[in-house]
Amino acid sequence: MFILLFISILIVFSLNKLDYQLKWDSVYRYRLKFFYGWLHTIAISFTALMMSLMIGFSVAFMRKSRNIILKMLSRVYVEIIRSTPLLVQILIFFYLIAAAFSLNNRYIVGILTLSVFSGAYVSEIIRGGLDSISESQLESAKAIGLSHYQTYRFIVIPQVIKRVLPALAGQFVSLIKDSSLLSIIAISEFTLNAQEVNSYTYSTLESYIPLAFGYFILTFPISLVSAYLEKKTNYAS
Amino acid sequence: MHLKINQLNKTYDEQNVISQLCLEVENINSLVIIGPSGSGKTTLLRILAGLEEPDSGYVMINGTELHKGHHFMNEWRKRNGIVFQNYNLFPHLTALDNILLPLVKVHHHSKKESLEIAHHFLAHFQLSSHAHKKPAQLSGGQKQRIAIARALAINPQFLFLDEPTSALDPELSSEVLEMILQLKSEKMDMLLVTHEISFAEKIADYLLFMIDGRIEEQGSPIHFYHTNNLFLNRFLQKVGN
Repeated sequence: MFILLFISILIVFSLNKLDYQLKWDSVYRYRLKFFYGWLHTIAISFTALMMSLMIGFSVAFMRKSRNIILKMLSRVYVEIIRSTPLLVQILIFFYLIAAAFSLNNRYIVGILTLSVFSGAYVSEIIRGGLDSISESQLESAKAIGLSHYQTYRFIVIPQVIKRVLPALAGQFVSLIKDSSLLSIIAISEFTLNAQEVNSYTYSTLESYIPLAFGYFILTFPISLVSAYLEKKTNYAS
Repeated sequence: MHLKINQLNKTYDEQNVISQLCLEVENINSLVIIGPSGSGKTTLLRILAGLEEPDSGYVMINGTELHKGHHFMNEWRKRNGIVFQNYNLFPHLTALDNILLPLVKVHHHSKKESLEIAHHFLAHFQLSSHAHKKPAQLSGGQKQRIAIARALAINPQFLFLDEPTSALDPELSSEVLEMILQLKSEKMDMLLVTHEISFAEKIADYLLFMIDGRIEEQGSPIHFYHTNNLFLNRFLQKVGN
């Protein structure tokens, strides 16, 4: 809260120092454009989150598999995605892969790219969670006669979910902010709409301050939940 | 219990942990294995409990030949209770749920019946007040007693205990030892690995002393008192008996 207050004071001070008068009238006319962009960002981020969870879980289990090929494939995927910028991935995915497969819907391409990108990070979070379950628990499950499926269903997954929730919440925050890069392929999400308002009105600050505020009200509650979950998990352990 | 082992071998990283081990005992309830660290006593218990596969050899308990495939050993483990050195309770479940899990999910008792069984064992071992606590809220002794209650709740054919008090301080271990003595008085068939020699003498119908993966000495506790086995006497002196 103190930091927030400090940043607000800093901005107000800077505006005064530069004698800059914020003019909201021109930007206000485009309020619905901001709102629809914001809704698109929510829809894109939420869909990508769901898909990245599916990818993340699958890749994490592939990484833990005894099959060397699955292990290698998952490792290569994670390393390539994590070692290259999202911006480059979006461009390659849109202008090369999607074009080659005649995938013309840029929203689908955008969601797929974000999911593949975020899936690599989610898989590492899940893998960390799986690794945190001690061998002794797996042995205990074996000793009481639980099957492989039951061991995961009743022992491993409930604990992994609890342990990785704070990190997943953090990843979701990153995902929402990363979705702004989809503006590069002209997806009409929050950032692109703000850029367009800026080009219509020449009011740069007035266009981007709502953008920052819009992302903030999306991500701040998730950060709060993440901090709460982290505290709760630490307490439980 | 009638236990017959013939030419049992187990190797880890090219090191013989169990070497050509042979044994036949019958008409006993409690078999206790003692020996120095690395003597193979825990490995032997784990093979008998079905947690490890031997490299070769033959094991028969009460007419049942073990290690006849994955499915058979899974069924064997379901019929028996295993208690570990470090309790191995599931940390996300309460004490009650730890006992309920195998009853409901493995032995397919109804929820109502499972609750009755679980509460019976919790009450039997004066653990009822801890039923809704998670393992992190219990002392080491309480955790181990819950682990034993979980193993007993399935009405096991045999109870395998691997150094059940080694992670506990003397005060806490005494409550676990009393619980095991109570089981002996109830004629429970048990195989136990322990480093508590005085307790081993109390609990054992038959004792095995292992060194380097083989049985160096075996017999009743009275036999152990009077034997002249040099290795055993040295070991007993070392552990302070």
